[in-house]
Amino acid sequence: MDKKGALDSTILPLIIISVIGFLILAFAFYQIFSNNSLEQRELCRLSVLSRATAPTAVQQNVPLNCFTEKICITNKDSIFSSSDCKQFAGEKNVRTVKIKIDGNPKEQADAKLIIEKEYANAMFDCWAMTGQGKLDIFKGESGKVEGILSSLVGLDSVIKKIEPKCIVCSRVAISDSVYKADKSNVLSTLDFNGYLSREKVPGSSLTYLQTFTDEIVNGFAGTDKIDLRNNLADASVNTSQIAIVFMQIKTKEDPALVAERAAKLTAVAIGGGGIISGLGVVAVSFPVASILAAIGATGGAYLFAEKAVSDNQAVSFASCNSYSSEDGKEASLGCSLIKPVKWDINSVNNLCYGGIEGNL
Amino acid sequence: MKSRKGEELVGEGLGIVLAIIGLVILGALGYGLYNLFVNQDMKNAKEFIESLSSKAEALEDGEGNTFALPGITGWVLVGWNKGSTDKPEKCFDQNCLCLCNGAGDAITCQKNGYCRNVDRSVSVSSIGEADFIGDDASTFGKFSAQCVFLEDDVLIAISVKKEKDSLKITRDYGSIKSGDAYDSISVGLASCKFVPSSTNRLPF
Repeated sequence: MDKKGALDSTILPLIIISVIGFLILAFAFYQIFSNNSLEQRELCRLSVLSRATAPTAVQQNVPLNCFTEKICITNKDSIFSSSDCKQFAGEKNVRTVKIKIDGNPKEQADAKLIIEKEYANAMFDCWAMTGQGKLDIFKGESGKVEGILSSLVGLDSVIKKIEPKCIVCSRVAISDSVYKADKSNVLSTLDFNGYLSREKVPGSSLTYLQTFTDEIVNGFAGTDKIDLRNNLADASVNTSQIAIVFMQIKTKEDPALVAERAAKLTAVAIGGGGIISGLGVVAVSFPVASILAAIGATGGAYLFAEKAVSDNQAVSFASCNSYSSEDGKEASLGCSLIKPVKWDINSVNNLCYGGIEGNL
Repeated sequence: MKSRKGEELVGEGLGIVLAIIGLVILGALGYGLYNLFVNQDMKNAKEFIESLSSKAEALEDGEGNTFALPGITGWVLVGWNKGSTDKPEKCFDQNCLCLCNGAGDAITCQKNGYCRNVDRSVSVSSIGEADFIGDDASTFGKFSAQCVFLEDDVLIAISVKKEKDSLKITRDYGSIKSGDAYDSISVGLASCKFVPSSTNRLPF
């Protein structure tokens, strides 16, 4: 009887310890995989990796588990907080970033830095979670653009073979309360380029610019400026936000032959609208390009900068790579691009007419 | 002997606990895999209808706005009002807004659709104007339908106008100048009272 009691007293603690251990593990996993933006980025990165490494036959069945992060930059004094950005009315998973704009020079300098940091981090996170342009995410050359959209925008057969697809990584909006409080025009003094070339990526010894490009790049050409205020200021609440978009274009044609074409398409994507021609390959009737400052052929990351002729000034980062098929026989050229675009139907659809994947 | 029996009991007890833990972990993994790989379109459709309903709810009476929402290939947005006889059972006797896979009829929506009740009468429509000359006919004039067809995985402009007693949801295709585009639109809208543009046969 005593022995049975002793046995029970041996089993019980073991069971309790096992259950407690399990609960601790479960709690730890829950904390790691709970619904926050960090975990969502990790999930997206994992799904991107899964898709890029999946066999071509099943690749399209591997969904991209990417959710667009919504960032609302609002005034600290605002009482509405997350619902302050009308742009995200009725939407879930909105992260609020509070700044203080009250005429105090120090507060204004801090507010400016916070806004610049949010955009820089949004671009960096997008670049990192989509594989830094090294992964072939959208395998295949389906005829998706042969639907309504292609007819509407008049795409020709050449472009149909180069299918730009996108993931909208984040949407960043500034609330009305910030605009109202910004009497000394803090927003117009934003120096996004300066921030990218000056500040280091958290946990890295490289600046954002060096991380996105070759490490020897230290600054932008003087003409390449981003004017966030022009991009954000708009009468309609639908467009006064910027989406950070990952776009990938790809073709199975000979990379050497198609490089120029891909370059031009990427240039078009970086720019805004118009007709691009020249380089002797093909004239593309598609919303206009601005000046393409730099392009790389294969491997590595390259900086595209634009000298915009409209208010659509934005730095974009792109990388062109040659991808091989599983049997190694077929190569394709792909260019990946991270670009801030106005959250407006025409701008986004023109950039991503092959389709948008992930959850907006 | 008793000691050996005790050891067996310890082993069995731990085995049961480990088995339960293993099953829970397997179940969680299975659920995770299900969420990851199954029915992405269904999830997107649910997000779409929830997002549109929330945005409409956020509007004040008398206010309207145009929202950019992601298209989901082959899904149809349709609305039914209280008293309508041919609406999906899941609407009960309420005004409701449904996103249905394949067609905008009550049976399809009941089987493959997501519905949200609306606190006022709801109308969903698509409008546009065709203006093009095909191989053997010219097509011109306005077309309309009582639903919104979603195509491609691109952004779609959905206009919402909220009044005190009504909610009006519209997609405006604008001017369609290509036969292929018009054909795609008319096929998509065929299931919901599509009124086509006029067509004139060209003389031989």
